[in-house]
Amino acid sequence: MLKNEFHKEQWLKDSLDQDKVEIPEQLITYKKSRWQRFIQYLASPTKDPLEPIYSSSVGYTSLKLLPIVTAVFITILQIMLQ
Amino acid sequence: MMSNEEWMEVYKNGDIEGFEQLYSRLYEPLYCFLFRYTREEQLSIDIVQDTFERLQYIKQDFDQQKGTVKAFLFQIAYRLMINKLNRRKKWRTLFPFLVPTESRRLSADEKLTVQEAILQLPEKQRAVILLVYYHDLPQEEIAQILSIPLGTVKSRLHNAIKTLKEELKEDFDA
Repeated sequence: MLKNEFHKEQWLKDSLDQDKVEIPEQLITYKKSRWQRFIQYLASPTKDPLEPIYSSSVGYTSLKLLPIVTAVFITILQIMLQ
Repeated sequence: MMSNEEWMEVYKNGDIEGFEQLYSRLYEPLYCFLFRYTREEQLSIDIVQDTFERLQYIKQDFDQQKGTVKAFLFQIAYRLMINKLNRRKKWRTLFPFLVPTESRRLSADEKLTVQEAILQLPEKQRAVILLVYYHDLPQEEIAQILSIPLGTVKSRLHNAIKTLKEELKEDFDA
C-alpha cells in the first residue's frame, strides 16, 4: 500500500492527522432541485467590489468627487465637439 | 452487507435506493477530499452535489471490471473541481477587482499549519497526497482518478512528501 510510505515519517503522520474536516449538515440529504441550489447560491455571501475604495478616506473622497469630475469631463467634451 | 458495487448495480437497474445508499456512503469521503483540496466549504458542497447529479446521467458508463464505484465518483468529482477552478481562474483574470483579498500572510513567529502546507503544495502533488493518506486508495485507483500513469502516482507522492516535510520540518524542529 502507498500509505506505507508514511510509516517512516511518524511526525508527518501526526501533523496530517490533525487535519479534521467537519461535514456540513446541508450535505446529509441530496438536494435534487437545481433551483434550490441556485437560490442558495444567490443567498451566499459575496464580496463588495467597491469595498477597497470606500474603506479608506482617500478612496471615499475620490468616490464623492467622481460624479463631479465626470460631469466636468462630459461638459468639456461637449464644448469641444460643438 | 451489500458493497458499493452491488448498490451501483441496483441503481443501474432503476432502483433509486441504490442511489440513496451510494450517496449516504460516499458523500463524506468526497466532501473531505474536495474540502482539503480547496479549503472552500460552499464550493466543495456544490461539487459533491454536482458529482451525484452527473452520476445519474452516466451511471451506465460504470464498469466494475475497470474500478470501484468510489474511484468512479472521485474521478467525476476531481474533473468537475479542476474544471471549476480553471474556469474561475479565467474569470479572475478578466475581472481582477472581484478577486477576494489575499489570505493572511504568516509572520516570522507564526507556524505553518498542516492545512496551509497542503494548500501550498502544487496541485498535482496535493491530489495524490490526499488520496493516499486520507482515503488510503490503491495506486491503480489513484491513477484512474487523476488520469495519470501508475508510475507517476508514486513519483508525485514522493515529491509531495518531500515538499511537505520541507514546509513543516522547521516548525516541527522549532
